Amino acid sequence: MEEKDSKSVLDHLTQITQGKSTTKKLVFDPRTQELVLVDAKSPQLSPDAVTADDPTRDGFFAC
Amino acid sequence: MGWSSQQSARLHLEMDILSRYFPTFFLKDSIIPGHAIIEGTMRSNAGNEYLVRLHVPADLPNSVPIVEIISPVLRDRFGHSLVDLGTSYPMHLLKPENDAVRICHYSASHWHPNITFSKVLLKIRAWIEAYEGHLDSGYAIDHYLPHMEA
Repeated sequence: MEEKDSKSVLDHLTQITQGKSTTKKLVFDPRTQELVLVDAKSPQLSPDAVTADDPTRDGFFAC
Repeated sequence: MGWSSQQSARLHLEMDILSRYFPTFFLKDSIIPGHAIIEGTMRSNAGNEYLVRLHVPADLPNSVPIVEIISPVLRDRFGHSLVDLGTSYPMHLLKPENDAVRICHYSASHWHPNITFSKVLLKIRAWIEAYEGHLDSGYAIDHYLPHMEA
């Protein structure tokens, strides 16, 4: 099941920032330009959807 | 002096990728290295639109591109202009120029020529979502987006 309300997306980002494990993954859907949470084990929304989690987990910004 | 053939090919590749993931973004003033910009609109999940400008480095692809939010004028939850914050560690901001907010997305030490503009803009898209989270909660943006390790 996908979630794209801002609160769910932000809660997910916060969990990643705090180093917690999540059962969801965040993807960017280029068709809608939305950030969408999907089950980590489910297929992505569309072939074009890309993960937005990996750059977050890598460490996001440096300044 | 113009772009080298390798740079021209890279720029073409970048725009090809962007047309797939961020189709509102277009290349402007592309003839002279150092003047080229890629500009387009991003929309948050809440439906708010932001005009984003990426400056293509003259030494493409070897430097971190500057990325700015051109409009709307961004303010923090407390009403302060983000431009007036200057460099801000918790908000992931670089020192602004020309009254435009500059997002701190990659440091030079973390940059690699293989990183595409699409990946940079993906970070900006996440920053926008986190910015709106800040407006709602008051938490700094680094509550939602971590800092890279040194």
